[in-house]
Amino acid sequence: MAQTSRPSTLASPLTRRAFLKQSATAAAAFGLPTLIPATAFGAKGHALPGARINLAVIGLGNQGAGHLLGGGWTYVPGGYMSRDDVQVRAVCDVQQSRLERAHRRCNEVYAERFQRPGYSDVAACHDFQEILARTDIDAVLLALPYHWHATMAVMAMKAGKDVYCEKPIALTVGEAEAVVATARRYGRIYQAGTQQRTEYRGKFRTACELVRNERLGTLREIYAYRAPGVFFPQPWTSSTGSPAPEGFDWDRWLGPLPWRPYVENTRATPSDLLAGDVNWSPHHYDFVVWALNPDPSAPVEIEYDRGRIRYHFSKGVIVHASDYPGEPIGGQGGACFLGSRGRMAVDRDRLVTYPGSLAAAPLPAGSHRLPDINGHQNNFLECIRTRRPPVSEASVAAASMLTVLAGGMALGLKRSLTWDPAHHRFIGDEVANRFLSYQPRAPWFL
Amino acid sequence: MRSLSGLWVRTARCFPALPFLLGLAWAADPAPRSTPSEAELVAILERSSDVARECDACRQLQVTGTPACLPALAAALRREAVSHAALNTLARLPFPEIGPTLRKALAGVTGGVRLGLIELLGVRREEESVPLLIPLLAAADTPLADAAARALGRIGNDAALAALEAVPTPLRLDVAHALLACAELRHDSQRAPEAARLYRRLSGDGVPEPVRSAAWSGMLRLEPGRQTEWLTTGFLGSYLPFRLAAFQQLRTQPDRATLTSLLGRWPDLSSDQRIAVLDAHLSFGAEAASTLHLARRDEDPAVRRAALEAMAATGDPAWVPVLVTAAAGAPPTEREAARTTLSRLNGPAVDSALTSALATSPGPEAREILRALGERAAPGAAAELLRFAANPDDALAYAAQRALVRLNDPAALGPLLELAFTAPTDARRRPLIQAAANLCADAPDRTETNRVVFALLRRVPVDPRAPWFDLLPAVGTAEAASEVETYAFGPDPAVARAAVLALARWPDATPVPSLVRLLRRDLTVPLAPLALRSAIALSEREPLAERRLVLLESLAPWVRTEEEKLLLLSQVRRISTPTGAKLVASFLADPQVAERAATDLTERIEANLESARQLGMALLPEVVKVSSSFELQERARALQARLPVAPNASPPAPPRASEPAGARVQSPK
Repeated sequence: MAQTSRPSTLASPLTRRAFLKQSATAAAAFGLPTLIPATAFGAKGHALPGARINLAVIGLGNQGAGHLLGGGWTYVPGGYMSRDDVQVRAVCDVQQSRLERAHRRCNEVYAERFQRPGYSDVAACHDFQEILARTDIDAVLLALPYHWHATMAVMAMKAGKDVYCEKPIALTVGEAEAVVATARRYGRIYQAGTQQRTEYRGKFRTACELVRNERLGTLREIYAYRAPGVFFPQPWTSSTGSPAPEGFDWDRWLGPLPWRPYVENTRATPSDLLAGDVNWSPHHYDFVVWALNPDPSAPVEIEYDRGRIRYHFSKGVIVHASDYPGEPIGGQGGACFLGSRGRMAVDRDRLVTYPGSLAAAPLPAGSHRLPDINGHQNNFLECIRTRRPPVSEASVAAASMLTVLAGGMALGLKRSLTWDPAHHRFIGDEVANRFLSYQPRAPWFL
Repeated sequence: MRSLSGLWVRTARCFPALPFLLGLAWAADPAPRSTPSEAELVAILERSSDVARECDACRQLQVTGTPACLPALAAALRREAVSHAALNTLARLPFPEIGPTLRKALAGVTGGVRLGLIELLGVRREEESVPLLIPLLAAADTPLADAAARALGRIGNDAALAALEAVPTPLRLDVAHALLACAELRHDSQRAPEAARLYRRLSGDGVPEPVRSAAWSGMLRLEPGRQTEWLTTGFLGSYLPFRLAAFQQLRTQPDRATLTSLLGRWPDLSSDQRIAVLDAHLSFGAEAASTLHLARRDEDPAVRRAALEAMAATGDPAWVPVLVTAAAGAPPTEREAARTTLSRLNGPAVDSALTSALATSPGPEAREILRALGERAAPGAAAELLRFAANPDDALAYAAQRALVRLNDPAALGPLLELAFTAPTDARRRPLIQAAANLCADAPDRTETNRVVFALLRRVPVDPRAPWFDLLPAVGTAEAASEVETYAFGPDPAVARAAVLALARWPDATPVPSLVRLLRRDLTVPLAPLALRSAIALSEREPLAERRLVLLESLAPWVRTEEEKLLLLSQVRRISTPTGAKLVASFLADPQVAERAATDLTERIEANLESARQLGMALLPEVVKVSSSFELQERARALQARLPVAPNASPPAPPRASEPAGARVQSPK
């Protein structure tokens, strides 16, 4: 089992909470008034000297470990461990081998960075609730199997943590609603891992600005390159499997899902519990929704046609859940937009327009602009400090995810539906509305 | 949890057909044609001891169930292996009878099922559940007591609230969350005094933290009369959760009095506080100018950058000089912020402010203004940029040329060419031609571009025309190609070389036949290798594979060196037709590239085994013969064995058994 160690304050470099706490204690000791001037906290225009954000990373698979330590897909070399404004305090996973590996590596990195041989202040936790209970942790990064994202994000926010959550942020409409409501109620910063809004040299932002400012003319069709998806168990559970390997808490891995035996090499939420794609589609539809900026009160017709989905948004825009025939650009988180003046295809590597002149000239001043933010991590951390809403805040991420989930429901039920984005209900289909949420396994309720 | 999992394993052992049954049942449509009736599904729940069938019945009842199925589902709650599926169905059915069913079932269940049932009662928010839940608040079983608190918080009527408030202190975390939920319910239902009382209580000492700061924010919203006092205290105070909540509150609902109070303490504020105050002040429009000035002069670069970013939303041309200065000379992060803001600053007078500043600004700042004019696509910017495009100051001229390219105004092409034409030296002419070429490449109307360019070119004397070749690939028309080709065949080697280089940059494969003609004309000229390599590379731009192959075939006789042959083969490699294979096969006899050709052919046949029988029969023996790689020979032999049998043909002879590697090394090729 993992050793869970509490960090030693004395041994740690000064962090934000510790700094503030020490300052306040000192103020009390010297009989200062309760209302302590900000000068005591590194003011006079200076940033707090100990303004590092205390972070815990929960889920140490490819995605989580990439965030933590850097790796092929990440955007910041060295991950959060390399940042001067972050202090990683704990790591957590239900797989002992992953946990031990990340734990050892984090302490090694800090030992070298702080010139402190034997550094051991990064704790290893098998149980994420230990992390949520710690008052010295400001924020958590969640990189989990899909079915855990919403539940754990809600629990973390209720425990006072700011949250960076990988996609998909929810598998049901009810989960998405709970994430938004909890972030609002508890005033937490929530950043979804839909990093196309800030990464890839602003390609997706540029594309959205071109669409929104009608550079393509009147928008008619969008090809989203991926099927939507949703939680739609068939079957509810399974009896096929084997005992979980030593050091893998399978029951905790399953969490809110119906119980089923362990299956070898399970990495993500079992596909028989899902209809469609919930892995890549959140990126694609986040981009589509960002560009389209649909009327949030207008119903969306979701057409089911022999296993294919087409969304009919207001103003006659059709979103196809498929590739644009013959256009290779779009598969990596992108889309292809067709307007009255031309076509634009975008993915993480390229943005092309047909004709090329559509994107050649800059948008004139006075055009509708989107936030020009450099880096998803940067944005998250800055918002933790400033309490500005992050670019992929809960309500924004939920609006995109609900589009995915509504389309996924049409795939699951194999019929066309009408989605009411204002009330999060299907219009005229009470059976579909029965599937807006599910009963999680105790005790992992939202 | 553990016991449930154990039960599942035992169940699976007892019912070996379970996976099959589950798969069979759940792979079906939600509403298949042969949907069992509700009575049949209920019968399964009542009589079957097959967990898989029962779970499937629950699933189908989610779609077809009526109140008639509720007793069977309630009974299923008592069977642990089915209970979760049954509870999920009860959670999804929309009937009012479910509440009474759940309440009745509560006494008969334990463990996780009980917790789930309580959760569901909370979600349903029926007041009738409250009397059942209140006693559970005091349960010794903590998860049970917490579940009851959560459910009562969700229901939130007066009885539930009274019970929650009566829980002895110190306040348990789940009770605190439940009380917060009660406060929000009252807030949302216009019962402000009750909500305020709860918020006040929950924001006091002894309340678990996340709830405390949420309640504090709620209190601020509900008591505007004291907002300034509380917000200022929280904002400046030492209690971090309130401080962060105050940041958020100030941004979302800024009030003037609080801002005035905080601005009075500006020198004492930390950087984060200053940025928060600045953000809040911006919502008051023009009056935020004084704060922007303060922030711009701040000691902290983060605050200065925030000010530069914030200026974008003001629409005020008065910020132009500040932004230009920062764009020209501030540290990198501020410089980027200033540049972005300069390109985005809205407002009717901003463009004219930029143009006015251009007249009086020193070099670095003038360059930033030129850059901004290009980025902003300002009306009339092209004229201003053209004025600077031939400026004696190279840096200014270059900045203007880049801005013109960014502006991408087709109307600027003619004047830009004119500037190039009148440029005193080649050194000054080349960047102007390059800028014009960039404009040509993105021009929407190719015919018009062609007209403008040739109107100018006809005025250029023949001898010094070579520098202008850069322009023609960007024009990309047939006339442009013909013009360059003429010079490629001309007597002056230097001009001919410049022409071939221009053809090599052509946007499509149009020049390939001309380059072949050039090769035919005289292979001895030093231009030949350049023409050949250019032609091979250009052939890639032919979108149709068959036509591309024809081009490559026309080039095949001219390849001489190994490098040229490999270049050609790399292009043919992308054409997967049998004709492409034949062209590759023609290189099998060439010792320089035989290995590469053999590999290519083997891979082609591997990729299209079903359709490549004839090709395989003909070429694989050749591959085995020419290749010196034992591995490739083995692959080819294995492929021969796998080739599909022709109709009415006897099976192919079995491949020769693999020889030991050592023997192959010694065998002749």
